[in-house]
Amino acid sequence: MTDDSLAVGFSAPVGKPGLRWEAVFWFMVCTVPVVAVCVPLGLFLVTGFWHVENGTMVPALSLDNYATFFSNPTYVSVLRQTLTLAAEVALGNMLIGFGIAYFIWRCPQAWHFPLLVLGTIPLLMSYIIKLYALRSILGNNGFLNQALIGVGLFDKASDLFLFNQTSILITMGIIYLPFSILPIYLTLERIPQSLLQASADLGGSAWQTFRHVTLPCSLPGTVVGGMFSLILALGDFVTPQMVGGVKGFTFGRLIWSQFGMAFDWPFGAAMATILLILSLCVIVAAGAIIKRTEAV
Amino acid sequence: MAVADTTMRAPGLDGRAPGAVPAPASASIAGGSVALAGIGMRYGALRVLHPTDLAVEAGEFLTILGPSGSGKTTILKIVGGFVNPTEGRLLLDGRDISRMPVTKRPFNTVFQDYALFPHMTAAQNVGYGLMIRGRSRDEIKRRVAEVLAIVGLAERAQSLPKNLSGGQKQRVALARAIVCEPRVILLDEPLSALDAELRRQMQTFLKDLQRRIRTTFLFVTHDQEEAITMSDRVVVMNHGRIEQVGAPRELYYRPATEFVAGFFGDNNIIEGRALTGGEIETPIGRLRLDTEWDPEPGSRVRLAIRPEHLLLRDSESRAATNANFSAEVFDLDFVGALTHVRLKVGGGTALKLKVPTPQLPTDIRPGSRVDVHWSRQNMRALRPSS
Repeated sequence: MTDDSLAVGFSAPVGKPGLRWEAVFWFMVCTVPVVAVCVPLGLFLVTGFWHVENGTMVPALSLDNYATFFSNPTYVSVLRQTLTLAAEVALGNMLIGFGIAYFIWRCPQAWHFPLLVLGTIPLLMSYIIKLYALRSILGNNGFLNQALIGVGLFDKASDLFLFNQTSILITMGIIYLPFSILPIYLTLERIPQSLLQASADLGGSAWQTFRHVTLPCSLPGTVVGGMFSLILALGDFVTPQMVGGVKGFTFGRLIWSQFGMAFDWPFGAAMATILLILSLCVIVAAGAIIKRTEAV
Repeated sequence: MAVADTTMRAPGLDGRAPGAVPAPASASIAGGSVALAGIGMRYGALRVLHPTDLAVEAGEFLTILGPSGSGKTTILKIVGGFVNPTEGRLLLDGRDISRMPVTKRPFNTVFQDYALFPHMTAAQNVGYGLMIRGRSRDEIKRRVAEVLAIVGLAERAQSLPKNLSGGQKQRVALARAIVCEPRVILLDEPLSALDAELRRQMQTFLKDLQRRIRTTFLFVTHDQEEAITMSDRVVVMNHGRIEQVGAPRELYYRPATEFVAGFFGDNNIIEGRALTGGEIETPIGRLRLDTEWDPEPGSRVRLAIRPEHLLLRDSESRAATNANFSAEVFDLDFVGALTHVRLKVGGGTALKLKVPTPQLPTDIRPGSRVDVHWSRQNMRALRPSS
């Protein structure tokens, strides 16, 4: 009897509220991702199999949207162009991002944080403001043209840099650069100093150490940095809209047009699904590369 | 310890006995002699190494022993060329190499964290130095196989470091350091990450390896047991200065300073005051010193004597005996081959003895009275440490 009452006395204040909070916690953990991620994704996937008749969506499952997309050479070529563009952005940002991250890493330790903040501060600014700023830099009377004329490379202002695929490439490259710098810097930072010392100790010159130790060890972060830029560039429709003009049509704009202009949501959803699958392929491929290179 | 003959055994860390390996071509490496001439190191106002002279003889196993912050790793880094000393010169076989860059020094280092390249197999790690030197593929393959066999890792050649145990990584790091046939091998606390049993195996292995390849080993550790079991000579450091240099036995039985006496295990310390003529006034009576160092009369002196040098009862030889003291046993601690005995002598001074258990009088127990004495040569007067 005494034992029982003692046990109750102990468990009542401690056990019960703990149990309740735990239930709330697990409820949140399980429902938030389901409601916020899985349900919308599922709706999208399903909508992609519907079609529109007289301005209303008909929930009849068919693969018509996908057939329409892949049988139309215009759509496929937009997708191919966008893939090429995104790959160029990714490659460029991997190279430039690596250069910047490597520079920061080689600076004295105390400078790392300020330099990193400097490199990533554009992320704190509004996307739209950055786009307008770049538009004025790339434009006919913009800073870039003025500078090139000033240096003597060009005789007159060129419209090479605005309202075409090149302008999208430059703009996306600049806007997504911080996303590439950060992961590359992080892997460089994780390379133990002793590895570089060991390479020098065994006779490796600065270049040999870079080639055989630094570069392979930082490859995972470099791949992630490229992947971030690639995926962001694949789906972006605002940047092409703002700086692409008529010539700068991309897959993102194509999808947007189905929702915003053509009101063919099922077709838009089907194309968004294609984009999603492509992005997943990129992530899986990047993961495979990282797994092969990362040995820590 | 195993005799250094033409074959050698690597510690069996894989649960199997590694086979004897044939003597490789590298058996004739000759070690280099290194001399530090007034080498010192300062970071701004912070002195990490006072100007130091030290001669490392060719082919010797020299250990630098000290607590963290004593300057031992700084010496290793200066010799390796990873940091430049603020003063002094470094000589290799009498030639000044102070300005020689790390990549050109004929030294190789075994790092504390092994520093194996994570994206390379064990064989690629070992062959790295040869690859850098532009050796042919065949030669690299042959030499790597030879050296991996020496360290008993021939079958793990294709493993990545992440798939190797701590002891195996250790041996890959060692193989990588010896494959280029350096004049001196620098070891920066390489055993500190291993468990006790593995560490003992590696100690024996390292010592055998050093005897066989006859390269100079400069070993840094904070573990005094490691230092005395492996080294030809030990340098004891504290606060950026050398306290004492000597063979392990010498440091153990003839410590020069309080720090060295305290660092090497148990010591009975008796406080006293110096009188004229080499006599010391202590709580247990006047003791006579048998030492080259004559303390200033009136100064405070600490005397050290090892527990195993204290003898119970009187034995036949009383000639060299300093004195004979009556004491009371207050604790007996049986630890196997030895029994630790704690005594109280006059003036409340406690003394600790280590007596081989069979030689212990059978009737001894706490509270019994015994006589204790010791030989004068075994008692050391300690200089105060820096």
